[in-house]
Amino acid sequence: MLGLGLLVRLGRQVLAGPVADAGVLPASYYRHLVLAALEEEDFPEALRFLKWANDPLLAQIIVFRLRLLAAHHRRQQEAVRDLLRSGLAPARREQYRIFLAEGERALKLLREYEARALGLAAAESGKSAG
Amino acid sequence: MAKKDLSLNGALVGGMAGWVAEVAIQEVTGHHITTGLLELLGAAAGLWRLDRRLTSSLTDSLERAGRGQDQDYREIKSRIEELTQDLPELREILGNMVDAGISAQKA
Repeated sequence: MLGLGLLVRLGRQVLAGPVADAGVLPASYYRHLVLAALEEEDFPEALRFLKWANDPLLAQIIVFRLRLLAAHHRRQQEAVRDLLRSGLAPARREQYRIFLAEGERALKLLREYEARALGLAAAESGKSAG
Repeated sequence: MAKKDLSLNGALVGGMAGWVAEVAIQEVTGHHITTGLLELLGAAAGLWRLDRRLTSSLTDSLERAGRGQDQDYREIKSRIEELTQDLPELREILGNMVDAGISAQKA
């Protein structure tokens, strides 16, 4: 039982590694990889496999999730800006400024991911239509 | 005949077959083969699980859209429409899910 379990695990590791990166596996396998990455909120990993998943709906789900996350970040940013406008101790003010800068970087990254996902979604929709 | 009733070879083969079946069932119903080899072969179990995972992803997305909205379905629907203007398939699916929620709330 242990031997078979190890064999299955080894097989999965090989498939999830170099073989999966070659894009030669069935689309359903890549859909699983994308969904698994999405469950972990690992957007770079989801985007890595999305191009082989051949599923415009998956791309749309990723775009939607990225937009929700970006909206959440923007609300947080707005709340921190409100706090900065009120009187704060200089040390605390600096912490909030760092938080805002990090938030801006996160938003920029989310926008990049969204653009990539939208590009793939458009390509997949084009393929489906054609 | 008495010898065959107590066949050591038969017991061994039967035991092996049972063990293989047990391992197979354990792997298929667990999370090992269904997320790897069986799906790769396009097995029905894997495809069913893929559908289930996709549904779970949609439900999770809907749940995330509703966070901080006090579960008011109309607000959630309006937020979804705002964020999915250029995502027609997803907009329709999530819209239907929210409509089902509104109907359930009314009932």
